[in-house]
This record gives sequence, C-alpha cells and structure tokens, in this order.
Amino acid sequence: MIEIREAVKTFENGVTALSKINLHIEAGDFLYMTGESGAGKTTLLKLIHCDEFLTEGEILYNGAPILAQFPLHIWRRKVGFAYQDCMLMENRTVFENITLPIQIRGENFSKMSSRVKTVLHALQLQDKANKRVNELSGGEKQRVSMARALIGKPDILLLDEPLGNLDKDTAAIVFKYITAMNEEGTTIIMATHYVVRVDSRPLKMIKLRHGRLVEKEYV
Amino acid sequence: MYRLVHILRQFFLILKESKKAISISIIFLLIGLITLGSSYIVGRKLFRTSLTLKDTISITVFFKLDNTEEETNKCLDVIKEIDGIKNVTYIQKEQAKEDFERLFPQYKDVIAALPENPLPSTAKVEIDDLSMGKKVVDIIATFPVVDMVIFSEDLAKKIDKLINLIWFLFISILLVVALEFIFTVQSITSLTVDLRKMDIKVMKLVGADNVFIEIPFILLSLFSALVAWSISIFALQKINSWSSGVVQSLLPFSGKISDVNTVQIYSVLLVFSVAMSLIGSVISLRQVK
Repeated sequence: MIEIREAVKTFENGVTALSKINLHIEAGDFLYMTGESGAGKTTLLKLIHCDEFLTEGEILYNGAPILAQFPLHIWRRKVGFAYQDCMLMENRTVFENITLPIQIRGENFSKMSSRVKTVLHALQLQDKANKRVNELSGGEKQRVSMARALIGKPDILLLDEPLGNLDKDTAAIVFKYITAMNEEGTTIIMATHYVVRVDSRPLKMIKLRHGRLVEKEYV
Repeated sequence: MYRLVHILRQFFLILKESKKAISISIIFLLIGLITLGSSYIVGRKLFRTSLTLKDTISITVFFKLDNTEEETNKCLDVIKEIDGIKNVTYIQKEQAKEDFERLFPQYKDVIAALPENPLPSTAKVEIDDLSMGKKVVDIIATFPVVDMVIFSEDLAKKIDKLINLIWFLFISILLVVALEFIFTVQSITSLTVDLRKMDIKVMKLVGADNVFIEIPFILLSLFSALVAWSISIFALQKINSWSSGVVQSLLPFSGKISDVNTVQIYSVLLVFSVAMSLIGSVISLRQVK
C-alpha cells in the first residue's frame, strides 16, 4: 500500500531529519513508530501526509507516487492525521473543528450526526461540543484533533503521540476505538513512546534513531 | 448541494467573527457609492439639461425690410444648402408682428399706430454642430438680402465647456471610487484572511480545496458591497430630489430640469459594486496564495 524508498529529508537549515528510510506498509497494518524525541517520527508522518516533501527518495501509494495519483487536497481527505500539536481552529467550537472534514467533503450533517455522536462519545467530548477550542485543556485538544482525524473514516490514519496527554483511563478508551477502526480495515501508523499490546494480533513496530531506521520488528 | 451549505456556513462564521472589520468596510464602500451615485445623478441632470439648452441655441437671421418675397425665399434656399444646417424656419413679417404683440401686449397700440409693420422677416437656423456656428454666420452675413445675423456663440461655448467638465469630473470620480472600492475590499479581505491564517492552514491540512477556503471571503466582500449598496439607495433617493435645485441654480435659464432614471442608476451601481468587490477580493486572495 505505502512504500517508502530511500527517503531522505533535509530541512532548509541543513538538519537532516531522515536518512535512507525504506519501509513497506500494507493495507490494514497497525504500525507503531517509536524512538526518542527528534528521531524523525513526526517528520515521517508529515511526509506521508504530504505536509513536507522528500529531499531524496520517494513515497509510493499502491505502486505510484502519491501526487501523481491525487491532487494534494484529495490525498489529505484520504489520510486522517492527529497532530501532536493538535493543529485546531482555536476560536471555533469543538463541533466546528471535528466536523471540518465532513464540511470539506460536502457531506450531509444529519447523515453524519450518528457518527459525530459516536466519535464525541468515544473520545469523551460529548459535553465539550459547543466549547471553543481555546477553552480546552491540552488533553482535550488532543482528543479533538484525534476526533477530527477519525470522523471522516480515512483509509489511512496517522497518529502523532495520540496518548501522550491523556490519563490512563481515557488513553485506554481512545486506544480501543483506534484498534476497532484498524479491525475495520483502516491502516494506522502511530508515532508513540509506548507500545500497547491489546490482543494477539500481529504487531508491526519500527524504531527510529537520529533519522535512521534502526529496528524493524514484526511480532 | 451540501458543499454549498457548508461554504455558506463558513461565510456566516467568518462574518460573525469579523463584524467590526466588515462594518468599517461597509462605511467606506457606502461613502464611495454615495459619491459616485450623487455625482452621476447631478452630472446626468446637468448634462441632459445642458443638451436641451444647447438645442435651443440657433442662428437668427434678420432680413432687410425692403426685400421682395422672392429674394428672401431664394436666400432661404441658399441657406438650407450650407453644410451643417439642420433646419431653417422662416418667420414672415406678419408672423413676427403677431408674436411681438403676443409677447409684449403693452406695445400693441404703438405697433398699430405705425404706418407699416416695422418688424423684419426672420429665419431661425438650427445647426448640427454649434462649433460650426461662427462659420455659418460669416457666410450668411455676406448675403445682400440679410440685414443682421445673431448667434449666441459665448453661450454655446460655455455649454460645451460645461458638458466637457461634467464628463471629466464624472470619469475622474468613477476612477477614484473604483480604486477606493477595490482598495477597501482588498484591504478588508487581506485583513480577515490574515486573522484566519492558522484556520486556513488547518483547513488545508484536513483537505480543503481553494473553493472551500476562498469562496467565503469572496461572499464576505459581496455581502459588504450589497449592504453598502442597499443603504446608498436611501441616500441617493434624497440626493435625487435635492439635486434638481442644485442644477437649477447652476443653469438658471434652463427651464425644466431633466429627470433621471433612478432604477437604471441603482442597477448600474449594483453591477459596479459587485464587480469592484469581486476584483478587490480576488486580487487579495491571489496575493494570499
């Protein structure tokens, strides 16, 4: 599904975030991406989402370069991304932020209302729907960012430290929801410090260090 | 269909968040529309009244008293053949006397007491182009049967100057207002876009295309223009009724002041405000890209 070949990313300031990464992700995979801060996890997710572009190498989707197949905005509709720094519209309500992918696709609110309710409930945001994002805590913001990524039922879900700001119970609920989505066929790539094993399903994990892929483990 | 609803939703959200900026832009656009509309109303009234006044300017030819009817008719035929003559109206001595008595009834007895009609026959010569007046007068004055030729050249020149001035002023005001309109809309659009830079970035990251991002801002500028236009109609109605007095004071001998077609003016202003706000917002959004 996604194939990363000889990926190199060097920023304008000369810092190399990723060097010579080769990775193959199958449809329906749940891939954990671990590594210390600054290892290049977020950069790799942003490269897949086309927020950043490679300096060298290529990223293929179903055998062809992504932007040769889709316009950028269409690709981003296929890929949900829950950012570590949330990337929310601070002056808008939680509801406005979460339903943004629905609005962008031109889908009917009433048709989607059950899904909106489910996602809000799953991420324990049901009583925050009409609150402005700038009134929320860090953990709540992170859940809103995740809810927005989940709402459109994307083919691929990119999660950047999604459990970092959550308490243990909430993290468990969120994780359960994510794995349920994975079971329904959504490919999930999750950058995290912790690897959570919930059942006996095969687990794919890679480890990055200083921009290099140092471990590839399929358990 | 739902996409349009969501775009409108974004427009209303931005409108709610930018009330102050929109109000300021409406005030500026309103000033521009009232300036343009009132100068158009006054200018058009002046222009049409000047044209009417200009139409009344003609050359008056006084024939000698001792001419025979045949000599006068011959001369009239020659005058009609001169280039640039639109119409020639002959007024016989008797007709001139009747007109005089009707205009000045107090002198009726004086005229009656005279042994013969002292008024000469005349011809009212209308010309296509008033600038040709002097030339035509010079030609007619050489005819032996003609006693005197009168042409209000100064008045014609003044009216011509006034018409040119009206055009110049109107075109200048139109250009200034068009620029003011574009500048206002462009500045306000840039400001509202700038305030939402982060929101726009987020929308792009979630997969919004340019239509979803830009159309609410274009609708916002159209909304400002339409509100300003609606308010300007009330102001221009007042100005329209008040302007006839102004034109009358500028052209005191003009008689009836021509009316203007207000529906036409409002329609033109509507098209103008929509077009200028579209240009302003599109320029701004191109710069943002």
